[in-house]
Amino acid sequence: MKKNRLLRVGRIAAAALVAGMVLGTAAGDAWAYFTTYTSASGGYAIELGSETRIEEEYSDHTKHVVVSNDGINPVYVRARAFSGSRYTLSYSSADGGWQAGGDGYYYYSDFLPGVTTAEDGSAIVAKTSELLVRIEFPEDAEAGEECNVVVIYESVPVQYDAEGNALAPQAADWTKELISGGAEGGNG
Amino acid sequence: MKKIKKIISSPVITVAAFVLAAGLLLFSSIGGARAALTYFSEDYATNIQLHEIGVTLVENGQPVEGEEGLLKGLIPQGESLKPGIAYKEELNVYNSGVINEYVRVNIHKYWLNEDGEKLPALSPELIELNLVNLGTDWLLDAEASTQERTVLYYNKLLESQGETPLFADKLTISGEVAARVGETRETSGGYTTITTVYEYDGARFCIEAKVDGIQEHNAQDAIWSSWGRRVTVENGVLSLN
Repeated sequence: MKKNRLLRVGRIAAAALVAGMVLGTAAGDAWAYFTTYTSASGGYAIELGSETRIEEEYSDHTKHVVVSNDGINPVYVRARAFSGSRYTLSYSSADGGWQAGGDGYYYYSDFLPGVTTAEDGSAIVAKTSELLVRIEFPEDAEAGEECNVVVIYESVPVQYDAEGNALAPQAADWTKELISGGAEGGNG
Repeated sequence: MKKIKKIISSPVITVAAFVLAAGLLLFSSIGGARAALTYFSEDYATNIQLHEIGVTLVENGQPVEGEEGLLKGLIPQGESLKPGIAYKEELNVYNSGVINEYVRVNIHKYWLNEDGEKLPALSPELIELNLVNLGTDWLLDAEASTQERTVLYYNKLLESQGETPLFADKLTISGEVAARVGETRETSGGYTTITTVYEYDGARFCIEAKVDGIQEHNAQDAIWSSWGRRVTVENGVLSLN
């Protein structure tokens, strides 16, 4: 008697299990919605590195300053010289390539393109024309008197407007404060 | 009668019934797979066509898809990307299916190194994708959006073979990338050389756009169930809750 009851309970449980499984699969269909998707991606690497170099020669109370661009990106260049108040400085350039900016700096009128490779495989490095910084000694200057003239130059990557036109060197933002941080993050 | 009862209540019959039930269940599962084999059946093709749903991302008038499918024509050939320039990048969505649908767009912006690894220290904000038609046609999901991810919902029903208005029109890499530097100073022979190392030099920016489409019928619940976002759909107009 007890055995029969156990069998009946077992049969009911099995039937319930099977019914549950069948209903479960049907319910899954009822809850599904029609969805779809598509995706696309893309990007570019950016190159900002630039390396400029200054060469100076001194002759006949005049500094001959030339700046070259050894990097791959085009840059603007500007320069100015400092001396003691006893000496006055005058600037000039043979081809008019350097222009006074009104802020004490002289701006090279065109940007210096990055290094390119010639047909024979040699590197073509762009250089500015000579900026001549003449040091005027006062009349009471003694023979052999030494003066200290420091030339500072700066370069920044060429900047563009939204249409892609390069800005004039004087119009570029030279005053933007550089945000220093860990350089490790960007060089990977 | 007693004999029949005895046979029915025997464990062998119970096990056999269970096996039969399991067989029936399995057979119903296989039914879906069998349907694929009768793909060319006229009835089956008609049935599928009723429920076909599709969505396509359109870039500057051309459909695009897959890795490296986006931004292919961004820069004129022979030129390199210049920070500060606003490049044309017109993006919208086309309903390539046969049923109407609601759509949303997920845009991810990030930086990668040369090995394709993410550079979380570099700011996605400097990748400026100019969003348009916000408020009128596209809704910005501010809750789900971050610096790296932008989520947009098209606020109307997109009919089959229809196109949405643009959600973006220009892409600019901010000139700020040239202001983020590390600096070293070296003095020799009376000269001090200051070398700046650009954090973003050599980094690769990446934009990933994923477009989702969902059925028109019962869209409110469907969006909640599938995308996890509470929305209200009234008279074919979708709004974010």
